[in-house]
Amino acid sequence: MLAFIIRRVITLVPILILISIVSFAVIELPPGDWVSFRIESLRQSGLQVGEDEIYRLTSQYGLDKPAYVRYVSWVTNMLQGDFGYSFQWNEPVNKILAERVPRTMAISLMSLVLAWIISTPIGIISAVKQYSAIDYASTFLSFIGLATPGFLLALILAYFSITVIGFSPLGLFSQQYLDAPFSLAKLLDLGKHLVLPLLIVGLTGTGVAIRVLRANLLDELKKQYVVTARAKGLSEYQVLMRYPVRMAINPLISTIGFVLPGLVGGEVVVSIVLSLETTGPVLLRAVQSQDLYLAGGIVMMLSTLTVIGTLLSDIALAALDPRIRFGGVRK
Amino acid sequence: MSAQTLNVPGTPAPIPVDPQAQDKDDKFYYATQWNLIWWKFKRHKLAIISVFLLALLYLSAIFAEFVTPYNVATRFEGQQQGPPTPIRFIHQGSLRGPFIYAVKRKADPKTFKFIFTPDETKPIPIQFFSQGDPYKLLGLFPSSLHLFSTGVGKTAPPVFLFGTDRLGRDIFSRTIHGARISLAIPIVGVALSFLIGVVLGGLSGYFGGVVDEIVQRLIDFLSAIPQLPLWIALSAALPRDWSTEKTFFAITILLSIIGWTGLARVVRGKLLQLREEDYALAAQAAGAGQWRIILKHLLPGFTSHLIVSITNGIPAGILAETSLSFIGVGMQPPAVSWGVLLQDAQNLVSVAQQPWQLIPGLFVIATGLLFSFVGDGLRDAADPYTR
Amino acid sequence: MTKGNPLIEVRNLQVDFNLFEGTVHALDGVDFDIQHGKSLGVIGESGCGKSVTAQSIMRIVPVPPGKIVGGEILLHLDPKHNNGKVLQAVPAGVPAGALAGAGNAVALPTPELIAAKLGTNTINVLDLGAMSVEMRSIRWKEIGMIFQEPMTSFSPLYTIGQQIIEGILLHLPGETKKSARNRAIDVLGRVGIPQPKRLVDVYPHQLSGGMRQRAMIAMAISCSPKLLIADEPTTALDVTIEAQILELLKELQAEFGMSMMYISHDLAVVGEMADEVIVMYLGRVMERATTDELFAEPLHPYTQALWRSIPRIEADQERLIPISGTLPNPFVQQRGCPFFSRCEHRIPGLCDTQRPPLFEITPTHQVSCFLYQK
Repeated sequence: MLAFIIRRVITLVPILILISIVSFAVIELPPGDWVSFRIESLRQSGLQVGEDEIYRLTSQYGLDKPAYVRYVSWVTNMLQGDFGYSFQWNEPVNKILAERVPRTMAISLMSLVLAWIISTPIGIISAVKQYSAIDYASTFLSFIGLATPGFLLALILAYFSITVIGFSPLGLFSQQYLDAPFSLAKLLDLGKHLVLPLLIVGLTGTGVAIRVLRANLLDELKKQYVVTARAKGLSEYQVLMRYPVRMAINPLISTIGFVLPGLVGGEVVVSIVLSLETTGPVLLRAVQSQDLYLAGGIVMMLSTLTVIGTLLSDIALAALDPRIRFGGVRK
Repeated sequence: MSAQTLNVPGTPAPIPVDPQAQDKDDKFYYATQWNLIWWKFKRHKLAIISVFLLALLYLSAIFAEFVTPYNVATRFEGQQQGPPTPIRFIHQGSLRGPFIYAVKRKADPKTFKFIFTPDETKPIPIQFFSQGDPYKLLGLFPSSLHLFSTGVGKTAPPVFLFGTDRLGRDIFSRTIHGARISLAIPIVGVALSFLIGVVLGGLSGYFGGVVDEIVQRLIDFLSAIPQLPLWIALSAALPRDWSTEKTFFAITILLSIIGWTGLARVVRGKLLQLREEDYALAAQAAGAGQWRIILKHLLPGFTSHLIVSITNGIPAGILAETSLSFIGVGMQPPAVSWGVLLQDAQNLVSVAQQPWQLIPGLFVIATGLLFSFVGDGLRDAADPYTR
Repeated sequence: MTKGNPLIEVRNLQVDFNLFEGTVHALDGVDFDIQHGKSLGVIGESGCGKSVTAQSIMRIVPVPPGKIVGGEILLHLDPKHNNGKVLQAVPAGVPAGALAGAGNAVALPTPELIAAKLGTNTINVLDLGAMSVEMRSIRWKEIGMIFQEPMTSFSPLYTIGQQIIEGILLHLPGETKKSARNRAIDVLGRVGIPQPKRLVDVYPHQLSGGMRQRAMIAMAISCSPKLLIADEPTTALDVTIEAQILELLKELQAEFGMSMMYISHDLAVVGEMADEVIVMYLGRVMERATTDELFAEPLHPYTQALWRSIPRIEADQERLIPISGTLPNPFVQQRGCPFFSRCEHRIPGLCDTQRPPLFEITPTHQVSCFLYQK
């Protein structure tokens, strides 16, 4: 088991390196850089910037050095915990990351848990009572989850929230609680604002989870050990929960790794639409204005956390399935 | 499996079986894989309907200029942000063919919102196969024939099935035209992904070893990164001044570069598994070459998975393009795609007042659903173990 | 065969399977007995209904698509054979577990209590609900079952100890977790598993095939059932292991005084294990006899054809002699004798229009064939 973990952690390293290269390259791709972007926006508001000024800005931000030099210094800084400086916000990237990234991950994970809670009973009933009304409804639900883009759902639900309920779901807090100190009322307000993002981000996850659970459970229900369990005299509920459901849940745990990137991505989009104070809007603007270190830092951070999440889910799967833990049958 | 078996000398001949039933049995047992898949697919009513609807959608997209009454750029002064025009059938108590009333727009002095009042005195009939804005069918044949409209040019009061946008353009026309890009990108993207995925997954699965390790790491890496932030970053890298076509291809390539991993995983997994199957070994023992084994023996074993991956990848592609364009890093105006159309809906306040701007979104969902149904039907049909 | 001391009496059992293509009459009127302490062999080709018969006794026929449409299965709870204990009536209001004193809370009421409640020692299993408390109480405690594939019969997620203990706690109210564990270790040792104290905590995939089968036998006898149903238990094992398992089963039967129902398509094994044999074909019993009678003098044409098809080393045989023809379409109910289309002694007009009843040749030997009509 330990060897398994160590092996997986080691493969993490090259992946992280690749991610850092891609994150950096992606920001560097567009022609120009932050300085030229800044100059362009200044120019559009009527200000001209002289050659000297351009040169000064460029060297001040270190943008005159060749790409690989900047990459190396970026990585070395990151390893020491310094993610650089955001040109646009005029703040260290660390500060912005610390503020925003945990919120994104928190919402993503909470959506996952919510998705599980919703999908488990539905998936079980779907498989046990195949072709019933609930089965068709759940299949339909998962299809909708797959076909509806997160941002569209955000728009539609936000529309209903505003017009029908009279609650504006924008942002994480309502106007009056924005700078207020912590209180129960503020927490409640946060909860209200979180309902929509959690639902939306979780919908795809729910759709996937229901289908996975249903398919696996259908497979497991046909197996011999279920017959043995029934022959032992267990009640139908005991037979169901202790044996096939327990088996079918395992792949669900492993789908964390599969679903997590999608959740994080979904959260990013939803936060852009609903103007949530998480990474989404910041990333978009950073990318568009070539705010190098901020954009790179966000992509790097999100990817790293997702990869770690995947690793953890692999370990969890191994822990839950004795076949993997003790060697033996492994396809 | 016919009845002509085992006529063993010294024992009585068995009684022959009913020949008609035998024929039916034979037809079933000797059918090719494709026949079987087709028969089972036909039983899936939902999938058949979905195929039909999708065909309708694609045809409408191809012949968009004909199907829609107006061209994409046609603006109507004084009709900005108008609601969908209701099609009526009863005028002053009597039944008629479909018609509309002309609409007048006024600004309400108190709320500053626009109010559209219909002129209920004069019914304007909807003409089918009528004249309208000129266009070039398929880019080649000049024509001005439209499926339906209210008459020629700007004098006839316009009919807006889905309402108008900020600039007074007909949303219905733009939606159908937008279908071209929104439906094409996923297809091309998935086709590319399919190629990359099958090749890489195939190499990885069949040859194993170092090749497998490398491809595996690549897949792990690509699928572990949250796709959307990566897409955003990559798409934002596309220069703004690129032409529509260039952006189109760039986005397609982007989607396929990141999207091939799912298929590759499936192909690799299945090949690894099927490679060890007895029938593959038997083919090898019989002297079949590697390519023959792969193509003729292994490939049909997971054709169903391939089909399913493709039909599930298309909704994902639609979602991706739409999301990117919506945020502003995908297709740009003046190109028309569903995502671009939904950009107008970015402002939540305006959505609250003009919810019809969300209608292209319904097309997105509907198309995704249709593809999913087809995919589901195909999967059930292609799975040799469902009866 | 209603003689002596029946434990199970099956009368005119009829089971249908409603499939997409039509209805299969998997069992079309099956009669047989299983005597206390004796073993019954069930021979037949694949698809003749052997397993469905076993499943019906245990009431684990998958419903849908299966359905038990007729007949009865009588289970005799004989107090004299209940390890010497005599049935006690239960005072009203006493919970089931209390009768045996301290123990565990999850136990089902024992079959004896059930019988006392129903007021009879003879229970028609088909009258009980398949998942009712009564039927669940009978399972494993009165009737145990072992299956063909030991690997898939265990859940890979729990240790074999856990899976055995689960059954013990369910049916033996007097057992605590600790005592159940000891009992599990005992029974594992009894079936020949080395180091049972250690192996009780291993997972099924860590055992070899033969060991797994022993573990399954251990699980099946852990509650001292009166009847052990063995559904082709050695078909998946190689010959040497098979011999050991058969030996083990015979020992256990002798030691515990269990009855056995041994299902197989292997004639030699059945001959080895069974006291009495029934031959099944297409859901009906063709012939019933003691093993000696059946092997010495098979009477039914089908049995004779089966015997003839076994290759013999000592005989001067040049060709194999299979049974000509194939199984008829299972969706079409046979009006007369099911073997009609392949029988060399068939009498057209009689055999294809009427079902032959079981004709008695000796008190222990019956044949379902018009050739033996008196």
